Amino acid sequence: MNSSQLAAYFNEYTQAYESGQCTKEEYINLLQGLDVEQTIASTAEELQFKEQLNVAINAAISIASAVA
Amino acid sequence: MKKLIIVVAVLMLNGCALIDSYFMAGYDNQEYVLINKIRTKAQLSQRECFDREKTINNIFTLIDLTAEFKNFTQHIPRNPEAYKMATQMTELVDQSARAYNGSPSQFFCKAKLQQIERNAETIQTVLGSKPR
Repeated sequence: MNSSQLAAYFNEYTQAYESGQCTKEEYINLLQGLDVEQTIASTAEELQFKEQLNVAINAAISIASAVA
Repeated sequence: MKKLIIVVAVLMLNGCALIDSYFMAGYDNQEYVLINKIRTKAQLSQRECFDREKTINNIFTLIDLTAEFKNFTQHIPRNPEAYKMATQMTELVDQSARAYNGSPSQFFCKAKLQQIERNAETIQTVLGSKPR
């Protein structure tokens, strides 16, 4: 999740709270959810990087095997 | 450009990171099925936010599914990211459950289920791209 998406959700929740669509406790709960969301997004990025690295390593091995 | 960045990163990384990536846990269909179930349940449950009892049942189902997902990922070797994300998913669902000690608003119900759905989709995307 990038910072603009995060800001959009933050604004949506803040507007809902200010207009009385949700309580203070619910608002805090939703913000805590955004915090968890950031952790999941950064872990997903780490895993994605590993996956790309894995593809690159296997491609390098294939090329090396073909040349040898 | 993306490939170039990866090649440069490969050259700069130490041996441990390379070994870690090379031997990372591969695609697991059961892992993928579980996160898909969580995502779909969160997606479809949004239609029932007007009904508190149905929503509570839906949250209970999500608690069961996320617990199963977390347990499933835990002891797969070289799978720490999946386990970490599964643990975070259980936290997200637990947050939702805590709110149902009272009578949450429909806005909260929908927004929280959307959070669960979004995160499940993020996880599903990376689990689906694991090496086969």
